[in-house]
Amino acid sequence: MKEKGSRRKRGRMYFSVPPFLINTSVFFLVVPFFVLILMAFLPLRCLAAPSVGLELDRAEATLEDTVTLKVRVSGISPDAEPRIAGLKDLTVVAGGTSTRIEIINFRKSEHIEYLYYLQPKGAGTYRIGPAEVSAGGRVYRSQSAVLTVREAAPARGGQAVAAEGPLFLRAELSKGTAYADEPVIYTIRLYRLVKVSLRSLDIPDNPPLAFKKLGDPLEYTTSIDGQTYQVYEVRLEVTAQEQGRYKLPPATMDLIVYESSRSPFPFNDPFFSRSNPRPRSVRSNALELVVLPLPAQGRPADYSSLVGSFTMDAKLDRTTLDAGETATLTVTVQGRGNTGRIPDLSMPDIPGLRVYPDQPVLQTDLDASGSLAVKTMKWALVPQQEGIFEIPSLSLGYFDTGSKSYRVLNTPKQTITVKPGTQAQAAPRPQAAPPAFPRPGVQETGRDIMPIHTGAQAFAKVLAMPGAAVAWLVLLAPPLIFLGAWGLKRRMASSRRNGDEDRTRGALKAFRKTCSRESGAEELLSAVRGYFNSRFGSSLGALTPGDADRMLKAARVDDGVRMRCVSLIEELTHRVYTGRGRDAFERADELFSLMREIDRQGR
Amino acid sequence: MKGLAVYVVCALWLLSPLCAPAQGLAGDESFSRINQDFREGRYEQAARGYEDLAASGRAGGHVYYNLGNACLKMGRPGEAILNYERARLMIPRDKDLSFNLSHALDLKADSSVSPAGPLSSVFFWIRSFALPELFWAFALCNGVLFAVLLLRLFWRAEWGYYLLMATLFLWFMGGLSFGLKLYETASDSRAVVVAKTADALAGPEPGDTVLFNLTEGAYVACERSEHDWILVSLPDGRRGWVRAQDAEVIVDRNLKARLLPF
Repeated sequence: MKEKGSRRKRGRMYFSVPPFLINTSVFFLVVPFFVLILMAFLPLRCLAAPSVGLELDRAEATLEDTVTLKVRVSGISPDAEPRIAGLKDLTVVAGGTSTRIEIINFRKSEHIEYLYYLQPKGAGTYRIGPAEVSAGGRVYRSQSAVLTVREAAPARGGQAVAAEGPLFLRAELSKGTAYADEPVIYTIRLYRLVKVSLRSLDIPDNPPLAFKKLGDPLEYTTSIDGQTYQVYEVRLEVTAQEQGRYKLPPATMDLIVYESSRSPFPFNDPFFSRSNPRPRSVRSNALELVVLPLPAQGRPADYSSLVGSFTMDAKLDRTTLDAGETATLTVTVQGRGNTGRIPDLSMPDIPGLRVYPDQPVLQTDLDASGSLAVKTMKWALVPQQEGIFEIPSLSLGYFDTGSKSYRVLNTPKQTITVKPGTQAQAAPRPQAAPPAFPRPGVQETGRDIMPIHTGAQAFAKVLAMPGAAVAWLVLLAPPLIFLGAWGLKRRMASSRRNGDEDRTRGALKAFRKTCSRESGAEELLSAVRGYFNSRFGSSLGALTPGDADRMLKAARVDDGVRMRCVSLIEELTHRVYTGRGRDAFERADELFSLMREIDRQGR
Repeated sequence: MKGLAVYVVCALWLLSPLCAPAQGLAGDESFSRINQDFREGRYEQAARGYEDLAASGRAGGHVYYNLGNACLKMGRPGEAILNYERARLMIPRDKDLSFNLSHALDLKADSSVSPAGPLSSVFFWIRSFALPELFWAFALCNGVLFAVLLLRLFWRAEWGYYLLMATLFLWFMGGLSFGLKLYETASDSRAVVVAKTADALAGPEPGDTVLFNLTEGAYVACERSEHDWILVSLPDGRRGWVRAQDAEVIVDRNLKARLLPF
């Protein structure tokens, strides 16, 4: 899948290369320069802090799927491989380890990634992790991840996905019926058996529905009807504010399909295969979402339009303090749903306590299961007098999609005991107090210059500029030495080549010198061996017909000539080994003309 | 053996310029005597001594620094700035020098600052290095680069390729820095007004119209000289002729001969 950055406009997602990357010459010249400058100035605190992370490539899978688990270890050198909890009911295959080492300011920082492939043995929900890594006597732990495994391929209207050729697009909703403001997961999956490049994805543009992309697209493999498909999955969160029956038109994906043509080379080597790019669009199935109104019955008075599944927690950092000191109450609301509607809770006035609210902080993580948000609200509580103060309960009403009813979350009531402090009337200290005494800077009492530099110490580090002759010599000597060595090497190579050529050229002459047409088979065979050794650069002690055949083939000598030569050598060898080596050879003329022909063709 | 002796002599000859000034001045008794004059408050005498040393061509940046100190003690901030700027060409990272130059600049009446050319602004690091330092750094990179190339001529290992790329990058940066510094030094036309006040005239004649006044320590750019007059310009574009004795060029002929080998 070739995806290069993305942006979204009016429900359409574009995937394009940022323009500045196109100018590769600028990129390759400028980037290394700035990287080196940055590396030189990066402070030590930029080094990776010791950490262990655990990540699954997806949260849901079927029994036929393989899930990828990555454990990332940063800033430490583990003593052994990580120990991962929760893998008992899964088949685990190690996928290898990759290590990345960074050296910044001469300090080494190591990042190790352990890869595992998981195959579920049965349907259910698996909690995987934490991963534990021991390093230098300390144990580091990662977070956990949840994997939900279903029996069959993802269901669509109660039916399993059926294969529809080498390339098809499927869409599904996590539920067909939802309440107003309840987020539903809309998943688009591209199943492919061929190589494609993604150009754009058109999602249905239905104004009453609000779409929000969830995390990065996923890529994994799945099995349908015994065939392994590559899946590209995009998840969006769909929310409808009003009740009704909403149609979701088919999503359209524009692609470039690379169809491989038959390779002209043997063995169907993929290196030599060619592919023809062809534009193509695929459409998903249409869907329908039924949105129900929130029930009026049981709606709490302080209902805040919050729909989903939430929990609330309150923590007071100290329950006993002196007058003038500060306690902090922290309330955390956490859950999934329309998390943007989590209200800012307000603290009622408490006589004898001054309350300073902090700015609430909402942290939202978009994962494959939707929005997981944590809203943290803090109040600084400053008692004005000694005594016992009660912090009232705070409440939050929401519609629970699990039980399909309204629920009210309450924080527990808490008390603060204030002892008499040193100050009768304490001042609120929501922020850092100013220092008790003014701290003046360094005062200038006079002005003068630094002393003169004397003696050898003043000149110890002086590097002088050499004269013109020395400067040129220093700068030109290395390239001249290099050029000299390069020329010498070329000359040596050339003379070696010439020597080989001379020897090759003289092979036929030597053959003619060492034998004549009247020579016996033994003498002729020896001369032929000498010719082959000289002509083809070998050092054979005995020449067999097979050796001759191989050498002539390598020299691309004509097949007819080669076969005749092999037959002559066979006959010569036969004569030598049958005791007729000294007798005259009748086919000597043919041998001489053949040698001339081989010499001509082998050049 | 004879060949080895020839190599040793050549190497010593090549390295001798590195140490020549240090040996020449460390052993120079006159330098100690001049320093003694300074310590005992005979600034006029000390300044003359430092000037003689500078004129002899053996002086390094520290002699110009000491001369600047002597000028400042005598209440001549213009000359002090001039000599500190000359010293900065040779010892740019000296902290005493930066402190004293800053002190001298505070004492001058004029508010002008040493103009930094566009090259110095972009390639900021070349200001922190003296020309000889950049030359020897480049010479080292040059030697290492061709040594690596020579090595790869006979032995092609994969790490050798990465070493070559790294060395090539250093060679390029070293060459660029040295070239820019050489150009900057060769084209340095900055001058400092050393007289208490100097009139800038419309022409190189005493009777010409006074266009503007310059005060001691002001930085100007020297465009050209005619007889005893030099044509100077200010950063705001104003130009005028001043007497040669009223303003001195920082990189004068003597310094150019010492700093620029090519």
